Amino acid sequence: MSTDSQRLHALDAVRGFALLLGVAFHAALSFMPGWPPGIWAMNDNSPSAFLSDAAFVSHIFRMSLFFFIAGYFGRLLHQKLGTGAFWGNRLKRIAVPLVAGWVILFPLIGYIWMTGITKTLGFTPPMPEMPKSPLAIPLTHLWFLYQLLVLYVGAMAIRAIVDRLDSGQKFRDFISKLVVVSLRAPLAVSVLGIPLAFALFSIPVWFYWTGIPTPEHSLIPQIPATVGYGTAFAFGWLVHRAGGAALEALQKTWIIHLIVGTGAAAWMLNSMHAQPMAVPGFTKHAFAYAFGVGAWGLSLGLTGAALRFLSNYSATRRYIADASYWVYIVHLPVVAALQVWVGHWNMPWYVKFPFIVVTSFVILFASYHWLVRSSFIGQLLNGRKYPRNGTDPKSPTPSPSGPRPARDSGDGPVAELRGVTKKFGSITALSGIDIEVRAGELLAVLGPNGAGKSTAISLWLGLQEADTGDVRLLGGSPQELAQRLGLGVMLQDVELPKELRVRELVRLASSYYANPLPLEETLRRAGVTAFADRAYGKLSGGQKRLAQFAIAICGQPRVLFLDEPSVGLDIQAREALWQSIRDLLAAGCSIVLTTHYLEEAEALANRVTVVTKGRVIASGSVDDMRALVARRQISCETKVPLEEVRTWPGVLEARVDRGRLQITAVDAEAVVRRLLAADSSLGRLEVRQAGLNEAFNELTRDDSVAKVNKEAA
Amino acid sequence: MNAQVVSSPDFPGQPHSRRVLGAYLEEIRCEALRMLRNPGLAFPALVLPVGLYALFAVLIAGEAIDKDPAVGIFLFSAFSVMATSMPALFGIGASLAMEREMGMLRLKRAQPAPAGSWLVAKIVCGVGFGLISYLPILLVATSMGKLPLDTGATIAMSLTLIACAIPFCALGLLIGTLFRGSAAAGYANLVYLPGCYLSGMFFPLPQSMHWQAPIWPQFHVNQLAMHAAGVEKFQFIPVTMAAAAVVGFTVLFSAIALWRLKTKG
Repeated sequence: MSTDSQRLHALDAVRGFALLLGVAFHAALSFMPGWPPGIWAMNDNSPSAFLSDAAFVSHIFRMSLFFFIAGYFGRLLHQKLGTGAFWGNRLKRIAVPLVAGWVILFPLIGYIWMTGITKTLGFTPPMPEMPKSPLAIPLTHLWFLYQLLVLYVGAMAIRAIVDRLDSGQKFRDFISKLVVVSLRAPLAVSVLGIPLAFALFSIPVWFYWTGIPTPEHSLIPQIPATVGYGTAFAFGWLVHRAGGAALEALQKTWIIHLIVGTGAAAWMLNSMHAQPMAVPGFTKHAFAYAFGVGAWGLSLGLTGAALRFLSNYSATRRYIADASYWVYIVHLPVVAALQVWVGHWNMPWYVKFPFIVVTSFVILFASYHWLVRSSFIGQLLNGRKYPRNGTDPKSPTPSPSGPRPARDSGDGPVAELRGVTKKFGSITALSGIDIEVRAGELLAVLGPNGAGKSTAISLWLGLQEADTGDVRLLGGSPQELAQRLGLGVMLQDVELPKELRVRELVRLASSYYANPLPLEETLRRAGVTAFADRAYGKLSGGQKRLAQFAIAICGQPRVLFLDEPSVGLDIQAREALWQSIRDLLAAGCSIVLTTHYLEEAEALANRVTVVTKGRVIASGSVDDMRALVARRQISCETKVPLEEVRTWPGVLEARVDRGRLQITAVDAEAVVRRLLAADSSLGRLEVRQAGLNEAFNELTRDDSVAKVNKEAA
Repeated sequence: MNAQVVSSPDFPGQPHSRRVLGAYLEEIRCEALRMLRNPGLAFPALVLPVGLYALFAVLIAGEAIDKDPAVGIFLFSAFSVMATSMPALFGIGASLAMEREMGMLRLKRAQPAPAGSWLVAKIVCGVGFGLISYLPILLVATSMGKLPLDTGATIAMSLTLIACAIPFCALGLLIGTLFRGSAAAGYANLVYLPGCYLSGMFFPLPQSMHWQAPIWPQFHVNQLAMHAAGVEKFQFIPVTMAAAAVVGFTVLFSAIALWRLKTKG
């Protein structure tokens, strides 16, 4: 199950993506066909309709996505810091970069623009007039920081009002529920764009391509941007309030959102090609609405996809996400200078555009690495300074920081299922099961076929996700690679590539682990040295199992999952396998073993858990279990009355079935002796051990279970 | 010593990135060994295209090529697409279907294998085998003088043809996830062979058949090759459209395949 901090990794990645996409977006703007000189720094001599379309598509959603995530993190930060410290933090992270960035970047940008326009026109254009109104400051691409500050002011004001009116939080709880339902349905995508649609429709001269006109010319908040990005910010804020359920809904609906968003984008491209300039009428209405649907579909879809696929921690992604803020703030002069430089090269756009993007990223990331990451600028922008020669930080925190899942400290349980339910269609494989594996022990999980043993194992291995409840492995989620690095596994019903030799298979498996055993040592411990150079397809059944065992232990796992390891082994091989397992236990490895064979559990286990029909019906030491299954079935033809037999000590159950007396007893010898004494004509006597399956079946309706459980506890 | 290693909370040993790189390389090595040791795949994929090319382009159509160099490039492209796409499609499709049936993917997902390393290995080997089966055709064509192109165009065309193994890797992936076991190879043939003919890759199609050519990946791949070689006679759609279609096919096939893998395993 995902934890909050894992989700923050995903959202951080999305924000970084939105910012970096902005760099590519601006890099494309010198290639726009039909743009008059002066709109952008350069008009390249190889315009591209493709880049125009691609830039439009990214323009649809990238800022909405950014503000959506900003809203989410805004509330998170506010919850963590309180209003006063929140403002302090925002002023440092947003207002200072806005002012300082503008002062340094604006002259550079102005100079490059003049150079580029001169190059495009062939003569020096007149200097643009200074703005007449004091508020008409050209913010350049840093407008988004200003807009963000405006939205923070709005959010704080609305929050104060709502706080006063809704002191019982009923209204807010209702809104949170609405958020979750609307994401799950998923209806939010069709509703959230409506305010923006009105704002866009009322723009008198609207080139479709511009979408939400960029509010870069003035400190006075512009209506379409404030409405569009304000909705995004507010919804992000509300999604944070709605908590994990909202994110889960997003995660589940990512593909639908992406399809809706892509569909809207495709329709817009199509109608834009027919008529690039809005004419009042149906198309303008539809376009304004489609823009909202596209922005929300793509934003929610990408966020959901990130939650789905990028929730685990990755050092590379962390680095990129950290760098993205700096990269975006300073990218414009770099990108524009490159555009001006290559603008007249006699080369096609598909060479020049990638060149600009790649070169910009190299310059920008290098500047981040050497100027920012370990300096006060990094401290200012990201709230964190990395040591200069620091490698990958071991306990990374996404910004704004949340705790990382604690790694296993060594004495807690190494693997746990807590209240886990897992259904496959109408079949309940596990229903509210609790199992824990303690450090250094061997837990045998016994149960008949279809009891849920293998499902439990596959949850621990991260192969499946629980419907409800908590699955933990080595103190974290088994979906995370960091956790799985500590496990070894031998599954049932798995065949390995028949063309490969055992040695090659073990070598491959060893390469996954951080600290594998030396190859020869693995082969020796698993007892496969003798046939290490034979192709897997040519091995006997038992040899195949041993080869799989070698693969399970090669990474020096801290917890080892063995699913029916000794099926198909002869006695000698089984003894050898058991010895290897004992050695692993002695070395501190924890082991989970599923088996049909009670004797295997007896030989190896510290504890036994019996699972039937998806529930734990008994758990305790091996001796407890032995007592449970030591009962035997006695069957005979006799005149001794049933009622009498039922009162005898040692008799658990007695009934008459087709003229024969059927007794279940714990002390069969004593019962048989008494039977023979009571009835000398007794015939067709049979005594047999109750099989495990019978014992399990009986256990499910036997109240002795509760007793054993109690003792075990 | 073991106890110490086993109970340490973090995972010491090789740095993260080097270990991951090592795992990728090892995975690629094993995949390549498997393909090489599987004669049922290696032989037809490596020998068939060059054999057919020698038969058709050199023996049968030899004179036509001498008259019109564009025909030579056309035939070269057709058989080269066959050479680069077959190992990708059949190698990945059949082996993946088999591996799913045998539970190998389940095991790999449980192990701490870097995400997608098996997939990368398959793609690298698919493209690599495509290259191995393409080179003999190139050798035959240039040594017999059936490829009238300058060096730059030859390189551009070669790179295009080899890169075009990737959409077929995606198609193989799709087939490998839709069908199980030995059925996969049959289905792969079912979608692959008609495409070779109906895409107009081997011979120009009559006008009435043109409408359906763009639904086959082979058509777009071939168009890219024609653009790379600069043969205007056989360029039917703009290069950007062909490239977009190839990328689109790749994304579509892989998306469905990955979705299937996720939901059905």
